[in-house]
Order: sequence, then C-alpha cells, then structure tokens
Amino acid sequence: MTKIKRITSFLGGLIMVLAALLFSTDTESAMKVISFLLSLSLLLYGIRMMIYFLTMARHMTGGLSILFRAIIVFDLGLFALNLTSLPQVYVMLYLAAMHGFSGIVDIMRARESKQLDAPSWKLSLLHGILDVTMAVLCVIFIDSIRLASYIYAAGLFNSGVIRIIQSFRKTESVYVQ
Amino acid sequence: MQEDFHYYATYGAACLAGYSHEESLAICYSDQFTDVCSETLLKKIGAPAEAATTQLQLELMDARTDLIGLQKITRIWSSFHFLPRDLYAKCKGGRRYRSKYRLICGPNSALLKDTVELAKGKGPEAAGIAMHILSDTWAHRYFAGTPSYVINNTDDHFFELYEGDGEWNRRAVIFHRNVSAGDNPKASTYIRTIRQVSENSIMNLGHGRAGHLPDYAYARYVYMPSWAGYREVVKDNPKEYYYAFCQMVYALRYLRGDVPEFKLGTYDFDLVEPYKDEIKGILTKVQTDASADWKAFGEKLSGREIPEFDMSLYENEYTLAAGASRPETAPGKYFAAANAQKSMVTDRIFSSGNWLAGISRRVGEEITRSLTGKERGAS
Repeated sequence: MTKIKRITSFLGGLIMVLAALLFSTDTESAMKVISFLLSLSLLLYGIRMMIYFLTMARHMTGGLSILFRAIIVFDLGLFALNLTSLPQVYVMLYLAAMHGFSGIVDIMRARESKQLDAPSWKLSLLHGILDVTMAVLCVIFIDSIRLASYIYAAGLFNSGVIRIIQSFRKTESVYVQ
Repeated sequence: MQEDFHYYATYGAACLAGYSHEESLAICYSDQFTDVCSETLLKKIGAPAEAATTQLQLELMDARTDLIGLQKITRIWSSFHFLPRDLYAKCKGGRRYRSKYRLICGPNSALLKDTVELAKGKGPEAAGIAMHILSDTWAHRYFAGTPSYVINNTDDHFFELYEGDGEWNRRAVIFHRNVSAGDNPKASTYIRTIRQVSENSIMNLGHGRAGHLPDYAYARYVYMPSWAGYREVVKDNPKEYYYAFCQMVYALRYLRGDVPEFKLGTYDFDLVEPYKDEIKGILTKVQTDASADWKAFGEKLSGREIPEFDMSLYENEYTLAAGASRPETAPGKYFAAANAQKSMVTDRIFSSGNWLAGISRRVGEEITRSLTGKERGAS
C-alpha cells in the first residue's frame, strides 16, 4: 500500500466510524441518508457496469447481457433517487440480505479454517454469527426505523475500523525473489 | 491435471526418459508438490513464503483483488499452472483487456522453452516443477491464470463429446454447485464455481467456471470460451494428455542431457510407441482419478513400488534440517527453483508491458539503480 493509499484508507475509515456514531444518535436523518446512499450506490454501480461493458465485456461471448444489466441497474438507481422516500421495507431487506450473506460466508470460512487448523477461525465465526444475528433482527423488526439505523451504523462502524486497521498493515512486497 | 498425472504419470515419463527409480520418484514428488506448496504450508515450516506455487481455497477467499492482490494471484497461477501462450498476442480491445487476453494458457510457448531451460542442471526438484508446468499447459489451455470474467467465464453452451454408432455425439453438460454430490461423468454433471459478474472475482480464476473437466484425461468437450468471439472450441483431453506425456519424456531427456536442445513442438512419440495402447487406454477410461492405472503402469516400467504421495516428506526434511543446511535439502532446492521460475515468468510478463504479475526482482533493481544512480544490494 502506498503512503497516499494509507492516508486515504485511514481517513475513509475515520469518516465511516464518525458517520456510524452520528447515525446511531440521529435515527431520523440516518434513514434518509441510508435511502439516499442506497439509490446512489445503484446508480454508480450501473455506471461502473457500463464502463466495464465498453472497455472489456463487449469483447466477450455473452457480453451484451452486461450492458442490459447495467441499463436496468442504472434505471433502478435513477428511479430510487427520484422517490421522496424509499419504502423502509426495502432498506431492511437490503440490510438483511447484506448481513446474512456476509455472515454465511464468514461461517463457511471459519469452518474451512478450522479444518486446516488455522488460528483465525474463531474470529471469522464470531463475525459470521454477529452478521447472521443482525440479518435475523432486520427481518424480525422490519418496521423499526431505529433498528435499521442501528444496524447500518454497526456495519459502517465495523467497516471503518477494518479500514483503519488495514491502513497500518504491513505492505506486501511486489518483488519476486 | 491431478495427482494421477502429476505424480504417477510423471514417474512413468521419467522412467521412460532414463531416470532411475529414485530419481523418478524425486521428480514426480516435486511435480505433485507444486499443487500443495501454499503460503500457509511454507509459513508453518518456516520456509520463504514467496516460494508458494499454489493457493489454498481459504487463501483465495481471503485474497484481496486490488492490484497488489491480483498480482500475487497472477504470479502464482500464471507461473506454475497457466503458463501464458503468447505474451504479445494481438486482439481487439484496450490495454486492460489485452493484458488479460495475453495471459491465456497454451502449450509450446516461448515461456515453456524458458521454463524447461531454466530447470536444466538444477536437479530433480526443478525438473519436477518444469514437468508440472509443461503438462498443465495442455490441460489448462484456453484459460488464464488470473481472475477474469471476460476471459475465463463459460456459459451453458457446453457439451461433452462421446462416441456412439461410429460418430461423435454431444451431451449437454449440467453444472451444479453441490460439492457433496461431486462430479458424475456418466450423467455429465459437474461442479463449477459460482457465476460472478465481477471481472476480478476469485470465482473467475483459471478453469473454475469449467469445473474439473480440463483436469480429467478422458474428457472431450466443446464450448464457447468467453474470449473466442462466439466460436466453439473443441478440447480433446485424451489426445492432448498423450502429447503432454510424450513432450514430458522429451523434456526430461533434455534435462538429463540426452538431447542437446529443447525444441518446441517436439515429442518423444517413438520412445513411447511400445506403450501407446496402454497409455491411451488409461487416458480414455472414464474415471475421475486414474492413479491406480498410472501407478500400475509406472511400477511395470521400473519393477519397483511407487509409494503414495506423502505431503509431509518435504515438511519433515526441511524442519528437521539445521538452519544453514536447509538450502541444500530437497525442499530447499525446490523452493529455490520455484522462486527462480516465478521470477522468470514475472519478468517476462512485465517486460511485455503487462503489469498483472507485478515487477520482477531484476526490473525492480534496475529501476532502483536508475533512480539512485548506484548499485543496491538484495532486498
């Protein structure tokens, strides 16, 4: 990691942690910000896919499906941005899916680590259980704005801390000896 | 390719090339070790981590796919399992697409010649690594040793070819992800990685999207590779594995000093001819593991028993050796040969204007020299 990347990673992590703290105290505005971010991420994802199609995927067999996908996602992003408020149920489902998937992957990873006697399995298992718990909570309390903002804040806090830790991580050498 | 070919078939090829039982065992052990020499293993035994020749599933799951992460993956997989066919291949598309396209693996490349020549005079450990790479160029052709959706993806237009009523017929391959169900050649059902429409997803590394089909000697199939512009490609594994075997015998004879020069596209068909039917019988037999057949073949050639591959042999030898004498042990020589191979391939890829494998030590030192204006020691 270059010095500039380290600094941007650290600052990005710090901003995420601060935003997480803010979201957990002001749930009303948190909901609006989460909805806006979701719509924006769809829009940006659509644009990214279009660029991917133009630069790479147009040369591949079946690459046109990427363009269709990009248009649909971009359209959905535009639509969501134009709504005055995104129905809360979608926000909760998004959070549930995000944490559920991440949790299952972490548990599978922990299982494989344990089989190989790698020491990291306990941490992975803990992450996995936490994520799955959050996903279950999202589904149970699907009508709760407060819980949605808490869960989003927790996820953001976690990502922020990881980014800060990564910015201090030792850089791997690109050289091959 | 799997243990059946990398271990037992390589033993047979080494015997045919004139090596003794012990030498053949050392060569085939090193060949197979290339599929298990991961960073996790190296760290466990206190060996240099940069000598890794493969990545475990767990390591791949944790691998970052930013530029540095991608370079690490590409260095390992392109150097040892998917040796690029043509680093200067012409194709449509911009620089980013071209960089990936040029890493597509294939046999008889200039890099293969460099690989075999690099192993010359460096003992059975280096010879084993070279044989692993050589045979994989046949099995893994058409796939790249770097994560790439636009190169390595395969879709549902995938058929197995089987002979019936005197002609070749097609049977649709059904891919699934039920690991416990495994591969079933009789029903043409095979496991493959999940489709991830993300260019650098680890699911798109090598032949993951075609499952283990490229690794099965009996498999004959037709499909449309992502990079081929809607053209069908036929892969005749029994034929290509036979070429791989004959080329291995030839390369091993060169390494042994029986042949003065290693020429591309040259195979020891004559030497293998007396065993042709037997080998072709093994290669065409529908089975996902041909170890027993190759073992019997090898034992018939040498008249000696071939022990099962025991991963802990190198581990024990290396950990029990005193620190200073470790480089002189068989695993020590293996790690040195692996490093040399990785450095050579990285250097060639980088010199072709492709950043996907990172910077080799040679280029790195040249840059340092030009920046500082003085000689720098090894880092």
